Amino acid sequence: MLRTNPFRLIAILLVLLLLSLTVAAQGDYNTPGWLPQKENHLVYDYSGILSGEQRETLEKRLQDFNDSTSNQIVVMITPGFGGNDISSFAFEVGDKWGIGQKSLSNGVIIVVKPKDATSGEVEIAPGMGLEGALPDIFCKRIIEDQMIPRFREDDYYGGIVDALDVIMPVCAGEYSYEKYKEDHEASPWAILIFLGIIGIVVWIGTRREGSGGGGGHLSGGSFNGGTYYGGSSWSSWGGSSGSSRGGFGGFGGGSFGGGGASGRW
Amino acid sequence: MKNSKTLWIILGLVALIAVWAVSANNKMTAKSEKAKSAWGDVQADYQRRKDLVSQAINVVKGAGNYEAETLEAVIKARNNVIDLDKEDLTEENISKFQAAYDRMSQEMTKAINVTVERYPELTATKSYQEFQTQLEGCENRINVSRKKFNEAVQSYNVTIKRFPNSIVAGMFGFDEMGYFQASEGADQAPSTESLL
Repeated sequence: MLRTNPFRLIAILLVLLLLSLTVAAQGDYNTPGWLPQKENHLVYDYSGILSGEQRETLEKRLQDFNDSTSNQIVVMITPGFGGNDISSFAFEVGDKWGIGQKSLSNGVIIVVKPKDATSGEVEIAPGMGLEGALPDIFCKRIIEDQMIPRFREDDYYGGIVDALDVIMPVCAGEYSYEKYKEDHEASPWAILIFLGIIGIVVWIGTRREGSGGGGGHLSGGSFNGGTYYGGSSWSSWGGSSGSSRGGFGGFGGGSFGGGGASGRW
Repeated sequence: MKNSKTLWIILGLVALIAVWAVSANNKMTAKSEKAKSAWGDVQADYQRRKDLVSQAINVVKGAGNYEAETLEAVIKARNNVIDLDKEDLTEENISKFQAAYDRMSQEMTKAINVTVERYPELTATKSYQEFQTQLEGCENRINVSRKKFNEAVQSYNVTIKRFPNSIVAGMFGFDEMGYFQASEGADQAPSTESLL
């Protein structure tokens, strides 16, 4: 009985080996240790939650950003992480894919797990070169302020776009956590200055009425406090878009060291 | 005539072996350097955990009526953590290094948890939440750098043990390096949210 045909045995082993290989290569988000297949684009929606138009808009914006600043931002929406926690999964993908340029490690990976029966999860993980610009606490704030409120209303696209509106200028060095804090926490000084200006305007107004227009040099002061991050910085690097639409050139080999933050709702 | 021919052959062989030995030596040096620099990252990330202790102390103090002894235990554990030079990376040293840091973490977690138990409203404060975020980021970084270190060590160890490299390794004193073992419960980040 033991002397079965050795060729048969080998054939069976080969088939088994091939099977295990294909399983490992394909796999899905439930397969333990799943690492998604790298492709030549930046938006990955394994949950099928974005519309075709949304995906294209997002993809184009991220590719343009890569073309003009060399920062590579990957957005990945997935129902699972191959048995990993969301953070380890994000670092693994970022590192193995090499998101960002090798010399700068200027990649960012955003992973979103849409809310299922239990919870939704989101992670923002900057590459090692961007940990300074995007400290963990900043990532956490973006998640809490920009993303989760939208995600709660099932507006995944809106939450991602809002987060990118903050992250992109930060990566490009046009915006910083310090300014973000200023913008989001009205400082007592801002309020004082604001009240002061109102006071001056009122005062000028009453004086004008009283004494028929003296002292015109005080009007039209150059108060320029409210440079908000939204539209103002946008146009400055929009120039290169439209020149070469050759698609995404591939990942550069950046590495990830575990920076970033996650949140759930 | 015949003698000088053998001499040349022997000389040639010796030269070949020397060239091979030098290149093997270079390869092992490069891998060992890689592992050592990965150790530098590991140590920096553990240092970050150490720095977090003062933040934890602030959180606890922020609760007002805290127990002095919980903090004493944390501070004592922090004083016991050790640095480990990249030239002494044996299994034993690494596990000592890790054990000291893990003990510090446990004390830190305990102090926070005890305080939160008494003052649940602490979890709503900004300092607590920022601490939480930093702790998470710190543990993530440690996990990543530890994994990269283990990979670098593995690659180095395989190289020095493989014949015939092993001969050169023995001659030039390339010793096996130690790994990080998953220590009891330390592969899960110490969570202070377990109580919530």
